[in-house]
Amino acid sequence: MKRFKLPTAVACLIVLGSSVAFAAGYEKVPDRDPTSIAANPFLAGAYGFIWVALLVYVVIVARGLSKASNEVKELRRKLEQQS
Amino acid sequence: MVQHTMPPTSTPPKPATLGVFLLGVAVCILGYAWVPQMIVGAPIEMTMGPVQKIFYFHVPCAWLLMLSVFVCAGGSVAFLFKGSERGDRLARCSSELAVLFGLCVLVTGPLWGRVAWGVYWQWDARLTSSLLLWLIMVAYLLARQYGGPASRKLAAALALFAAADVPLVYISVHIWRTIHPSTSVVPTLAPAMRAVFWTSAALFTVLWFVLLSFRLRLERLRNEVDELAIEVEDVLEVRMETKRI
Repeated sequence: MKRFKLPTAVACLIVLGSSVAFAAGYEKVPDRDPTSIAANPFLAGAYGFIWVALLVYVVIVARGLSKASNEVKELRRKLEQQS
Repeated sequence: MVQHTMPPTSTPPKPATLGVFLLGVAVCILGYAWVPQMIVGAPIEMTMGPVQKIFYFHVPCAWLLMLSVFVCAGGSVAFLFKGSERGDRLARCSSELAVLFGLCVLVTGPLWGRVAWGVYWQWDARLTSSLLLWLIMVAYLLARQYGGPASRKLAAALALFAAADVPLVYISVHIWRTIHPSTSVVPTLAPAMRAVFWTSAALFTVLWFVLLSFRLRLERLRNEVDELAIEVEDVLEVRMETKRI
């Protein structure tokens, strides 16, 4: 059951994202200049998202590296003891 | 009697490789501090206003998405036709970067579009083909993660499909009438904007190389864990048999 959690979460995200995008794509745009929308929150949001995404990825890989290094050490120790 | 030796895949990085890696990390940290200041100081575009500054990281992310897909496809070709394990490892690692940078493109683009076009999303050719490319790469990762060893060839074929989509994404703005800006924007940038753009693109590319080498090291360590686990199991089996005799 645990192994299906991630694909289910990804599928839900895709369906949710597509639905929101689909709805937004056909929403009537109010008759106003689009550049009148405050741009700074969007700019900060976009920049912030990139760095949070990269940081999360680096943390995931670093944790994986640390776990794998420990496993290699442990297995080498076992092998040395047994041979 | 079976002879057991330690697997030869001990992977301490060479000093030169480590030096290049640390240099890359230093460049990334400098870029992290410096690029935002450059972007804030860049000239404001006349028609779109400050939101156009998303361009300075949206386009480098799109370029890295395409690079990752091509590297993934190259590794997959090496695996499919030569059985190269290194190619397979490279393909898997770069596919993760394709999904990561693709996600950045698909999030920053709609944020820019909301201000510039008035909507987050339009089902036009550039946006739809980019979404399709990202979904193919997500399918690649899911196949690798949950499909078992047999899925490696299937995933490699998916990577080739993704690579075939990349030129389509690039030329879509010329073939179809789309709301997305064309590829002629970068060569016609004002000099002050051009400097910021190319600095940002170069730093993002260095970051990509650092992340790829970081991820490749993890993949090599995981392979080593698998080989050592098999080795330990073999030794245990031999011991049990010897005891029985």
